[in-house]
Amino acid sequence: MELSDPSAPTAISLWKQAVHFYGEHSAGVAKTLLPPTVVAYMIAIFLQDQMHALYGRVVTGNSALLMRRIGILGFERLMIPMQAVHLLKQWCLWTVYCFALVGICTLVADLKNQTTDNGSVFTPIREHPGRFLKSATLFFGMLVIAFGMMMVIIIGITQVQIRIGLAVPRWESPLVAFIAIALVSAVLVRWILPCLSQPCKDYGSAELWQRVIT
Amino acid sequence: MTDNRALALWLLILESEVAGYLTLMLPSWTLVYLNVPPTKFSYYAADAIALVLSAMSQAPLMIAVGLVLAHWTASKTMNEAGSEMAQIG
Repeated sequence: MELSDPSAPTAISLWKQAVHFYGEHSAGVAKTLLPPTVVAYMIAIFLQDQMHALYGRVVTGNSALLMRRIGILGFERLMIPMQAVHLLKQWCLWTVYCFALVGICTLVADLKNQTTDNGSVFTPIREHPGRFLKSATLFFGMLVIAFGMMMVIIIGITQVQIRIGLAVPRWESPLVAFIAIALVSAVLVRWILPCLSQPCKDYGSAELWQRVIT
Repeated sequence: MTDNRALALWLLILESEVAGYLTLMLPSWTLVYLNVPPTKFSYYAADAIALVLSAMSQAPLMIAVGLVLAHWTASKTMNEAGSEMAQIG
């Protein structure tokens, strides 16, 4: 669990280093996180309002009655526009998250190397906006696959419980979600984060996709 | 990336998932607990506070990724310099 070689006598845990850095440079971190947070808020509120407006137009009466009348599949088909806006909102928020992540990584590198002539921590994104959007979208696609895997795990656990007739306590739902996130994030760390730690070339991304799909 | 670093990052991802969920829910839970009547202002304000708290709780993971990258870049530069020196030698 060490950033440096674990056999080294002065190894400090990564978590401690991160918290120490956070405390020492809290103003710089807050300054870096503020613009993406404001943008995320505006996007989330705007798209959430659009989703509510769409839902109000599509479902005018009682949703339970409508579902009984047209069936679950018909109801799901009606929900496609809302799901599309929801996916767009998630993609926007994820891209903003990546924007903040790149900013923080640049800030850490600048402070570690003591280079402050960069101007802005978001300069790498401004120089290669296309590359940034492609990487963020690729990562988002992997998260969508990870979400699917998570749902498979959750549904599997629930089905086993139903088959053996196990009573479901109130705290079970967050616990199962946590276990699923833990399993899926382990895969993310092994496959996706190493891609961050080296220049992720096009064939590298293709190989990563192949590994995830096969 | 070594297994030690991967394990530390995995733990930080879990921490940020849990903290992110709690910070996103905390403002609305507080409003319900305090019996504050739902208005447009309370809805937008709760969302804004949730996002700010969530951004603050995500920072340690982002910093850790930045530290791993900085460490990796530094060790790569040292390795390259070492191999160049060996070639010259």
